Amino acid sequence: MTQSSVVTSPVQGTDPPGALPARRRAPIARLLWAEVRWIFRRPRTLVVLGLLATLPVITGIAVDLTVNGSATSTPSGPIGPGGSGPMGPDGEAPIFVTMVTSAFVLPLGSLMTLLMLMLPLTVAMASADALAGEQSHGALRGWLLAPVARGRLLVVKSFGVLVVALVAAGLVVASGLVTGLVLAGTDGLVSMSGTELTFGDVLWRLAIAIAWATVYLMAVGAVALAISASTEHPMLVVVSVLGGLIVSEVLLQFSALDWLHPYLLPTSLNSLVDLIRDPVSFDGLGEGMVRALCYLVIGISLAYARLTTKDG
Amino acid sequence: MRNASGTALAARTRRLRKVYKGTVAVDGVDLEVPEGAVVGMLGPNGSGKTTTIRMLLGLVQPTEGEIELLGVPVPGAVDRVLPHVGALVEGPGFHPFLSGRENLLRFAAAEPLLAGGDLDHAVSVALERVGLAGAARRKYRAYSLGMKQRLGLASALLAPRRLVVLDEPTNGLDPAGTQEVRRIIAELHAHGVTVLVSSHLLAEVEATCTHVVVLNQGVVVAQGALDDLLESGSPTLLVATPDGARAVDTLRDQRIPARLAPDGVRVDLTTTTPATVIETLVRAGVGVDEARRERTGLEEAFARLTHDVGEVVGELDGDEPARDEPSMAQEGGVR
Amino acid sequence: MRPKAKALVAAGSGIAAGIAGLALTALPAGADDDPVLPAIGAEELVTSALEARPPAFDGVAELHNELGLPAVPGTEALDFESVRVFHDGDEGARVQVERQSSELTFVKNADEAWAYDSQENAAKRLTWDEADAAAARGHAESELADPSQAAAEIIERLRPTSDIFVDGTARVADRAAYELVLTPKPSEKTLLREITVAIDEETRVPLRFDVYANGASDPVLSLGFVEFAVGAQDADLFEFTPPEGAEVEATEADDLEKAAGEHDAESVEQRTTTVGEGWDTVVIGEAPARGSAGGSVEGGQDLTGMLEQIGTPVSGEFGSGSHVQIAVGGAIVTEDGRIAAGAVPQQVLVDALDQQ
Repeated sequence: MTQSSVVTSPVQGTDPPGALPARRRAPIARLLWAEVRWIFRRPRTLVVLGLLATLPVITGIAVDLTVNGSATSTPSGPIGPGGSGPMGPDGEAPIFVTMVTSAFVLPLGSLMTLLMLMLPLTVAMASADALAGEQSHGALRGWLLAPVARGRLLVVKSFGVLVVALVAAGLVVASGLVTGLVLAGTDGLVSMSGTELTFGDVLWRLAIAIAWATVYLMAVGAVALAISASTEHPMLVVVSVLGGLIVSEVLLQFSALDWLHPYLLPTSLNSLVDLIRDPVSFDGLGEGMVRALCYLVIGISLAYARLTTKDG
Repeated sequence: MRNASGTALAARTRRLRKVYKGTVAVDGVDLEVPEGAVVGMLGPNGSGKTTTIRMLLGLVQPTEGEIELLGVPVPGAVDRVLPHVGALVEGPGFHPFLSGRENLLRFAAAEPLLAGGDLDHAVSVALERVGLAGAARRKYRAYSLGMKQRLGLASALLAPRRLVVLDEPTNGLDPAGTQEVRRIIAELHAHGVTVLVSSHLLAEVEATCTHVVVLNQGVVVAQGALDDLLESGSPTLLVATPDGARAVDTLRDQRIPARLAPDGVRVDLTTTTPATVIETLVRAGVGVDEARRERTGLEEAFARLTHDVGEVVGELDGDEPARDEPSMAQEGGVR
Repeated sequence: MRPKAKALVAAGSGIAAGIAGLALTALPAGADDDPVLPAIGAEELVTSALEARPPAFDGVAELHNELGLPAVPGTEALDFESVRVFHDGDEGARVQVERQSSELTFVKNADEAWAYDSQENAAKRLTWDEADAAAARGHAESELADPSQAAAEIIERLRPTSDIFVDGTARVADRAAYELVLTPKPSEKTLLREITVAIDEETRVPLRFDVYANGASDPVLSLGFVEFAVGAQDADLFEFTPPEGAEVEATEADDLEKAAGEHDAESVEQRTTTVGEGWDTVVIGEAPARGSAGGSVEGGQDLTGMLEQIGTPVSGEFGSGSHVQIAVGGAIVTEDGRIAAGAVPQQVLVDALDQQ
C-alpha cells in the first residue's frame, strides 16, 4: 500500500501541467501596510514613541527653567550635545546653554542624546517583535504558510523596523523643534562656528539629521533582526543590543583601542555634531553612513541566512 | 500525481526522514493522501505526525526524502502550492493585543489568492464559518481556548483551498466545538477539498475520515482507506439467534471458534467463511435472525498496530486524562 | 542542501562585504606609493615654500599627539579632533578647530581677524592700522592649527639652527609632496631628533609636519592635511558676524605686540619671555595662580599643586620647583609661580631660569 511505482522526478509530475498551481504572490504593498498597521496598533510601540516625543520637551523646559529660573536651581545632569553641565564654573549659565533651548540645538541635541541608548533600544524592540516576538506567538508560521517567501518576509520585517526608526527619529526632532520654537522662537539659530542660520538652513540640517539617524538606527535594527531571527525570546534581542551598545561605548573610552574604533557603530555618533558647524562638514557623517551601511549589510545577510534555514 | 493503483494524490512523500540533533523524528515515511479524501493521521504524541505535517508544508527541511504537494515539489516550489493549502499547525498563532478580526485581516493580506478588495469579506466569511462572527471584535487575549482554536481554523479557511491540513484541530474544544469541526471537515469534503487531519484521538479520526495513516515512532505503521483498515482486524461474524447456547455448541463441534455475547454469538472467521458458519447453523436447526460482519473498531486496530512495534496503547491518551474519550469513542463506533 | 548553502553564501558574503567596508573606513587615507618628482635642492625648496602664496583651497587637517602631556590647563589647544582650513588665495583665511562638542573658529580677511569660541559664545575681534597690517596679520591665532601656516613658521624659525635636506617624496592628502627634513645642529641642546615637513610639489604649501623625539621612531606630534583641494572658495567664509548674544571683545594689533612670537596660543595672554633660540628655546612665563580660572574655563584646578604631584623636585639658583618630563621636552614650575618649558633636557631649563 505504501509502495509507489512512480519513478519520474517529483519536479515533473505525471499529471498534466494544468494541475500545477501557478505562482502567485500577495502584492508587497499590502504586506507592508499590514506590517505597519500591526506595529502601530501595538500598545508598547505607542508608549515608547510617546515617551520619546516627551523627552525633548522635558529637556527643553528643564534647561529653560535652569537658565532663566531662580539661582537656587541646580544643574540637572548632562544636557545637549556637549554632555557638559549646563552651568559655567561660576554658577553662571554660559550663553551656549541658552542655545540648547533653541529650535536648532534642542532637536539635534535631543536626537544625539537619545541616539546613545533610547532610540537604538526602541528599534531593537521593534526588531525583537518582528521575528522573535512573532515566533513566540506562533504567528510567524502564519506568514510562512500564506505563503510569504522568507526573503520577502525579511523585506517586510525590515521595512517595519525602518518605519519605526524613521518615525522615532522624526518624532524626537519634531518634538524638539516645536519645543524650541515655543521656548525661544527663532532665536539662537546659531552654528558652532558662530554664524547665524536661517530657519530654512535649520530645517534642511534637521532633515539630514533625521535621515542620518534613521540609517544609523537601521544598522542597529539589522543586527537586532539577525538576533531576532535566531531566538524565540524578544527580551534576549533587546538585551543583546543593549549589551552590544554598552560594550562598544566602553571600548570607545580606551584610546589604546584606537584601531578598533572604526569598527564600532557608536563611533559614528560624534559626527552628528558636524551638522551644527558651518559650513557643514560631511566627511564624518559620510563615514558614519558607510559604517552604518556595513553593519546593515552584515545584519541583514545574517538575518536572511538564519531566517531561510529556520524551522517554521 | 498518482500512486501505483492509479489513485490521484494530493500529497505524497517518499522515504521522508527527519533527524533532529541525533533524534530520529520521522523515519522513511511514504505517505499518500488521495485527492478528495479526508485522511486522518493517527498516532500517539511524539509519533512524528506534526513533524511530517511541517515538512509537508515546507516549514521544516527534511533530512532526506521527497515531498510532493498538489503535484509540486516541496520545499523547492512550496510557494507555488501554499496559496491553495490552508493549514492549522501546532495550535493557533495570533497576537493578543489585536482582535480576532484584526489578526485574521493581517494574514488575509498575505493570502495570494485574495484580491485587495475581498479581504474584509473573506475574513467575515471565515469568521462566520467557525462561529466566531459574534466575537470578531473582541481582543484575542480574551478568547477562550476553544475560540482561539476556531480562529486558527478560520485562518486556514481564508481563501479557497484544494488541500486543508489540520494539526490536532479539536484541541481545547468542547464537545459542541468538536462537532463543529467535524461539520466543517465534512463540508470541505463535500466540496471536493482534500483534508489531512492529525489527531491522537481515535474517535475523531474514526468519525471524520475516509482514509487513515497510522504513525508510530516516526514510522508509518499502516495506511489506507478507513473501511479496509477497520476490517483488516481478526474478522468476526455476529450472529443474532434465539438460541445462543446451542449455536455455540454447534459451531464448536465443527471446530469453529465462537462465544456467546449479549447481542448474539461472535464467530471468529479466521479459519472459516460466513457462508460456512450460516450453513452449519441452519443445518443444525439453529435459527438465524441476522448475521453481519462485525467491525473491530479502529481502537482495537490501532492498539494492535502500535502494539506490534512495542507501543503501549495506554499512552495514547494517557496524558490527557480530562477528556471524555470513552464516550466519544463509542459515539464514533456506532457511525 | 540548497537553502543551507544559499544561507551560508549570503551570510559569508554579507559579513565579508561588511567587514571589508568597515576596514576601509579604518584605513588611513593615501597609503599609496611615494610619487616620483623631479629632484630639488633643499635651499630651493625652503625658499619656494616660504615665498609661496597659498592658493585658494580648502582642506581638513588632523592632529596626532603622542606628547604624553599631562592633562593640564593650557594644553587644550592641542585637544581637538580635526581642523578645517579655507583660504581664498589672498588675505582671507578661515580655520575651524573642531572639538568633540564645540568649535574654535578663526576668520581673517584684509581688515580684521575674528576668533570665536562656541563653548563660551565669545568672539574676539582684532583690527589693525593700515601701516602695520602685514605685521599684525601674523598675530592671528589661526596659524597654530593650520598645518600650512604652522609648518612655514617652524621652517622659518628653525632654519638658522638646523641642517636641512630633502629626503625623498611622500603622498599627503592624495597630493605629491617633497619631504623636507630639519635636524638640529650639533650645538643645539634639544630632546628632538628631527622635524619633517611635507611640501606640496605643485603649490609649495606645507601639507604636514611631523616632530620626532630622540629614541622614538614614530612622530610625537603630527599635524597634516588629510584632505586638500585647490579651488575657489565662497567669499562668505571669510566674513564673520558674531551671533546675537555673543560676548565680543575688540583688540588693536598694537596691544598684542609684546605678546608676539610665542609658540603657545594660550600663553599669548600671559607675560612670557624666551631664553635661547632655535631648537633649545626655553619659554618662561607665569604659571596660572593657584585656584584661579587661568586662561581656560576648566582651569579651576590647582595647576601648580598638580604639577608638584606628578613632577620631580628640582632646585638651582632660581630657587626650587618641580620638573615634569614629557616625550619631547619638559617644564619646570617654580615655587614662586614661574613656569619654564622647552623641548630640552632638565638642565637647560634650570640654566634658563638661572639666567633670567
